[in-house]
Amino acid sequence: MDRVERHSTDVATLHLAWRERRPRFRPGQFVHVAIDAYDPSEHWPESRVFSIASAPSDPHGMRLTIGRQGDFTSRLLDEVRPGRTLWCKGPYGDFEVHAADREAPVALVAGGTGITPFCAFMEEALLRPETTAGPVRLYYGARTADLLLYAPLAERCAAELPRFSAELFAEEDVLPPFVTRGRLDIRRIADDAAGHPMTRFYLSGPPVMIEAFAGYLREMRGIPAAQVLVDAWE
Amino acid sequence: MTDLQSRRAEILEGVRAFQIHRESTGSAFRPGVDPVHYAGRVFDGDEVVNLVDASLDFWLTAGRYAEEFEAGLAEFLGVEEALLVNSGSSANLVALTALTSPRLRDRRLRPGDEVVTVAAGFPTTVNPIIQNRAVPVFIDVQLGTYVPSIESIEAAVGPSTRAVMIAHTLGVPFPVSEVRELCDARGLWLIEDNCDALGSSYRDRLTGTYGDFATCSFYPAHHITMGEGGAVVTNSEELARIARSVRDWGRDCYCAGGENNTCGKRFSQQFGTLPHGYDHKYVYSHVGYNLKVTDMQAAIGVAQLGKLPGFVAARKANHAALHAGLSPYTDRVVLHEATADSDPSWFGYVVTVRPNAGFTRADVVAALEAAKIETRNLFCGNLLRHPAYEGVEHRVVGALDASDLITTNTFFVGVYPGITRPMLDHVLDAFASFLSRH
Repeated sequence: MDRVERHSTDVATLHLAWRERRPRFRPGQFVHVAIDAYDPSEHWPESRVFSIASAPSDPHGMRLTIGRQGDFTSRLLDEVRPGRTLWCKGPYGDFEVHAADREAPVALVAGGTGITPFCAFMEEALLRPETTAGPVRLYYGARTADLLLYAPLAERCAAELPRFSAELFAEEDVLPPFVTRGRLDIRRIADDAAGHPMTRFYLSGPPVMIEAFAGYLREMRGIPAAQVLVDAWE
Repeated sequence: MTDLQSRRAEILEGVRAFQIHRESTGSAFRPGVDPVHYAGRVFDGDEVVNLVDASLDFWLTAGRYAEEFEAGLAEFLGVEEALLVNSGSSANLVALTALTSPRLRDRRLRPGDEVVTVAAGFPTTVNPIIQNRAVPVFIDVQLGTYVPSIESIEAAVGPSTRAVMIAHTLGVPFPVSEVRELCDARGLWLIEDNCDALGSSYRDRLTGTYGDFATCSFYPAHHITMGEGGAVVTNSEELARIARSVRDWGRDCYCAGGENNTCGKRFSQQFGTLPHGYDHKYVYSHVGYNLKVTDMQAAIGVAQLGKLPGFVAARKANHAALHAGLSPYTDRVVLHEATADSDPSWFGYVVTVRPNAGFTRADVVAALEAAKIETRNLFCGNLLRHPAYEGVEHRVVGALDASDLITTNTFFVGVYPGITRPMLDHVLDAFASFLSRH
């Protein structure tokens, strides 16, 4: 681990450099991270999965954003110091975010730390704008504006990428200029896409939110299941 | 370093010392006494140390070395995905079977679809076509290169043709760039059987990188070895996922051995009419096989892969030496030639006895074998003349004259990196001695 970027006592981004070969991955995929050393003659040690937040073509390494959720993430946040070796394996996951089709708009819907699978996509779009052909609209919501960790990245994408737009939401009274007061509203998101039947919806965030949003899109709005992609986890 | 790690290091140091000692006990080549093999494994302490290291892991099935090998092979070829399997023949089976996947929808191969291949080659380039109830369309090859021309491949494509599956026989690239263009234009799949040709290139691009799939073999006779082993390579993530499923029992889940729930959806998905949440580990999306390797095999392969560029160079040098030495005899034998725009990583040196040579293949082979020089036929010659293929549905386009001549008149000798200059001189002396008498 190269360095830790602390966002708060409970959230940090780990900047990792590869000790061995660099894995190929696609935006939206995740890795298993183990703190204890991996002995190849034994099973893989205790690990947790984290979406890769950096671009696949980022030459500097990999970034993971960690939120405190239990003992394992507490160890990552409190014990792991720069210079420590972590074991990662992957990439895994079929929640692959892309906007390569010019005719198919993309709606990225992120609740809280659910933004991380979209970060790799946004970082890659900035590094290689040619990878993003179709229009992309990001809907990114959190309880408070300071929890919108990747607001600067979203703002940068909106400013620099002609086919990228973003709406950020928080529930406080006083908010930065780029953030709207309110919550993610799947009805409005679906309305925005109403004239574009090819729109693909990527949903990432708390399981309750994903389940409710996906159910609404499929059942109430008749969006084909293949166009509603969820970053689901048991 | 833990106690276990230091003991492991001690053992591996001893293993390397053993191998160095074994190598030091070898004696100089004695012409006519020591055999000149047509192929063989070339290794040193690196391979033996890796093998023992993997054995000490006792992981047994595909593990860290398999992962390292797959990454290294993909990097060597410059492809996105490489999957280890237990042989080149299995690689061909996986590749062709993968193209029958329902996931490919209307692009999938179906029973009765035709696949263009050649009559003279190795049977397991063709067998997967038959095993998947497709119909092989046989064409002839050209003497000298032993691969087909683009014209003959194009002539074989008919209304039912859906794929081309051809080998770069004994290292010589078929005109794969033109075949790729043909396949793109006609909507055909292309499988390159690259088992004989790791390190060959066509139009300055490595063979094995043109096909939708390509296959490799790591049997001891091949460019690198792991004993038994092979690989399927592709640039398509979709095809790789299907091939992995076909290799791994046909299962839908992609967790490696010893892994659980890497997708995080093991108990919460719906598949067919199975109960909701049926354990994803036991959901099958293909009628598959188990064609995986062990990590001990892969460990040998990792060490071999590092030596591959040197091996390829040695094969080219040995082939060039034989070619120069045999060039005075073109009135009686057909020499082994590269196709235009190709740079083969030769598997062997192929010789065809001309029908009017005044001697037979049996005569020259007997003389070489008597001089302790191993020879091999060009595999099965015309496949259609073998009992196994009687009654198999197929189509033949054009005459198979060259394939028939190969069946009776063709053989090859070795160019593998274990062949030294004194061995090459002995081989050329044996040819010269025989040809001076005939």
